[in-house]
Parts: sequence; C-alpha cells; structure tokens
Amino acid sequence: MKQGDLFYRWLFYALAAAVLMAVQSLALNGLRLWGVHPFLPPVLVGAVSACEDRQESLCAAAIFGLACDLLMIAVIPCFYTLTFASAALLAGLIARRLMMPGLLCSTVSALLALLLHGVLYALFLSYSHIVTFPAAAGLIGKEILLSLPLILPVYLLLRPIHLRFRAE
Amino acid sequence: MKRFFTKNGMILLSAITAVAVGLCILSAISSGTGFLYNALGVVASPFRAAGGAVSGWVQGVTEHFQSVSDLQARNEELERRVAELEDQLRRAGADSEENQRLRNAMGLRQQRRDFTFASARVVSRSSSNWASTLTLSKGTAQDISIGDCVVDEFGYLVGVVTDAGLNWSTVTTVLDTDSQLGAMVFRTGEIAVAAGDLRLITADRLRLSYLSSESSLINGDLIVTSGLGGYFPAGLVIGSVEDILTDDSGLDRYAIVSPKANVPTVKEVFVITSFTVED
Repeated sequence: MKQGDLFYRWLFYALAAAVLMAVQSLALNGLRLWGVHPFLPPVLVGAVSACEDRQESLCAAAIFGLACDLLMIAVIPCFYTLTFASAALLAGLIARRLMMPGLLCSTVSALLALLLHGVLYALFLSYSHIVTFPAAAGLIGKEILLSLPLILPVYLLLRPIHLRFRAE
Repeated sequence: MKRFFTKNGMILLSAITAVAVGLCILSAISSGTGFLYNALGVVASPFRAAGGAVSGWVQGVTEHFQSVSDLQARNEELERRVAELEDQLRRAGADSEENQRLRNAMGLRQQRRDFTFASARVVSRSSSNWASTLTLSKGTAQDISIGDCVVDEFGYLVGVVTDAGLNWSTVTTVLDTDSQLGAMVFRTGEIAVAAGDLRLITADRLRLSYLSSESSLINGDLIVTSGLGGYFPAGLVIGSVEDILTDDSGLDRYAIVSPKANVPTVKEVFVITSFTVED
C-alpha cells in the first residue's frame, strides 16, 4: 500500500465521520424515544476500530475524541479522548484475539464502546453528583438499545472505504 | 505503510495526549472560557447556524403536516385557557390597585423589575443524553456573559449561560445535572433548591430538594427563582410541582418539577444580560 492510500483512507473516514456527525445533530438529536436519542460517536469508533489496524485506529479514535471534546460539553475535559481511545483499544483486542473483523465484530465493538462511554460518564458524574445505579443503568440501557441498531448503516457506509484501501 | 504508524504512531499519540493534558490543565486553571474553546466556537458558529437552519426547516415541514384534529383540540383548549386568564387578569387588576394604595399608605418603595435582554437563536443542542445544553447564536460581543439567566418568549427560565465566546454561548438548561438554582414556592414563599437529576433528565423534569418537614407544597404549585444572593433575578418562573415524594431514607421530601419552558424544542431565547429587582 502506498503512502497516499493511507492519507486518502483516513481522509474518507474523516469525511464519513463528518457526515455521521451532521446526521447526529440534524436528525438523530430530535429522534427521542424514552427521553433518549441515539448517540452515534461510540458506534462509529467501534465500527472503525474493529476493521482497521490497531495503532492507526487508536490514533484516529483519540483525534476524533479530541474533536468531540472541543465541540461538545462532557463531564470532565478530554472525556471523549479518553473514552474513544480506550474503546479503540478494546475493539482492536477483540478483532485480533476473539473474532474475525466483520459486521458481528463491529457490533460487539460498538456495544462495548457504548457501554464504556456510559459507565465512564456515570463514574465521573458520581464524583460530583448523586448518581444512583438504576438511573445510570437505565440511561445506559436505553442509549445502547437506540444506538446499536445504527451499526448497520454505519458499517455499510464504512465498509467500502475499508475494502477500497485494504492493506495488502 | 504499517511502518509509517510504527514510526510515527507514538509521536502522534504523544501529541494528542499533550494537547488533551493541556486542555485539562487550561480548563482547571481558567475561570472563564478558554481561548481555544472561544476560537473553535467562532470557527464552528457558521456551521452550527447552517445546521440549525436546516434542522429548523425539517422540523417546520414536519409540523406543517401535523394532524388538523390535534390542532383544533389544542385551539379549543387554548381558547378556554384564554378565557380563564382574562378572568384572572380582571381580578388581578383590582388587587394590583389595592396593593398600590396600601404601599402608598405605608410609604413602601415601589416594586421594580428592570431586565436588559439580548435575543438569541438556539443553533444546536447537546448530542449527549447525559447533559442538557444549548448553543446560542450570540456571545460576549452582545454583552452575554457566564452566569446570565436565559428565558423563553414567555419569560420562563430555560437555563444559565455557562460558557461564552465572541459570537456563541452555551446554556446549561434547568434539566442538566450541573444546574442548581435557588428556588422559591410562589404560593408559600418557602425556599428550596431546584436542580437537575439524572433520573429525571430523560423525562424532562427536575428536582426540588431541601424542602422543610413542615412544607405545605401541593401539586401545581408554581416554582420561581428565589433571587437570594443576588446572583440570579428573583421571580423567574422555573416550573410547577408535578409530584411530591419522600427519598429512599424516608427522611427528606422532594418534589418533581415540570419546567414551564419547553426545553427540548425551544428555538428563540432571551438572555438577561443585566437586571434590577426591587421588592
């Protein structure tokens, strides 16, 4: 694979991420069920990290997390950098050790990324606020139920990029 | 190509870590909005505005096709409410005149509420389910600063400005877990604290805590800002009591408050940039 391929691959991933973030803010934020809307970023991180090289996806997840931290308010500074980098590491481990990269692997990675996001948010929030387990678990569960089905369109969007620039 | 990441991956990760740690330190030591956040907000504001416009258009189209029967039922309900309010207004007019006469007779200072408003559009909402924040189209250039109260077109409290850049500002709504407001029960004058709660955020409700054991709160009671400490103006309507409960320990009572402002759909808001309240 040429140097240029690496650049174009991640450029296309970045463009896909921008499209998905636009979909999040224009459509998904208004799509509320049980008081919760689907949350795409962890799904995106899980899907990319499950099929790409571990080191590359770790860097990409950290950069994406940093961008999210600069654009969204979170419980602590750099929350998304930390969460998405950890999710990418987990996804890399799953793809390398437990299952073949593919839709199932991406789904499991996205599920873990969503779970990690929710658990870490609740943990950091509990430092300064009263957070009861049922409240946090309920919110995490609803968020996963609504967000996880989106792995299919995300996977279908990212799959051609992965196939086009697949490392030989 | 793997060699590129093997060689430079650690440098790239170190650079991201350095920026992340820098952001943490900046956020910890700075009291206001950091330069980086301000600059990024300025760059992002046209995109947010464009996104907000598209989203508003989509919502407008959806609302256009809302059922006619729903609208007729709503219209009937509103007409009934207008009649009730007109009756209340007539009685309040007489009460107000009597109040004025008594104040004059007792030599009391006149009540006064002067607010300076800056109108702003909601250009984006928080994507996270764990927080409830809004980004506004105006910032420090329009005298908006951190701590300013934000109300909707009816004067109902939406939230408080928690970040302000040159042409943008972030509002933490009354539903957010970070939101804590000195509140007062309008009917009884009882003081309490209205705060966001993780259990209630998905139901668009907030919690009224620190109620006294002798509290005579009833469902439907209006909750307003207390104005104690002079940080926020007094008398801004937060919401009405929906339910009164006792916590798990059985010792403390709290109320669930339904905010009067429609926080999830509010589009146009007014920031109170300065105020004078004399009671």
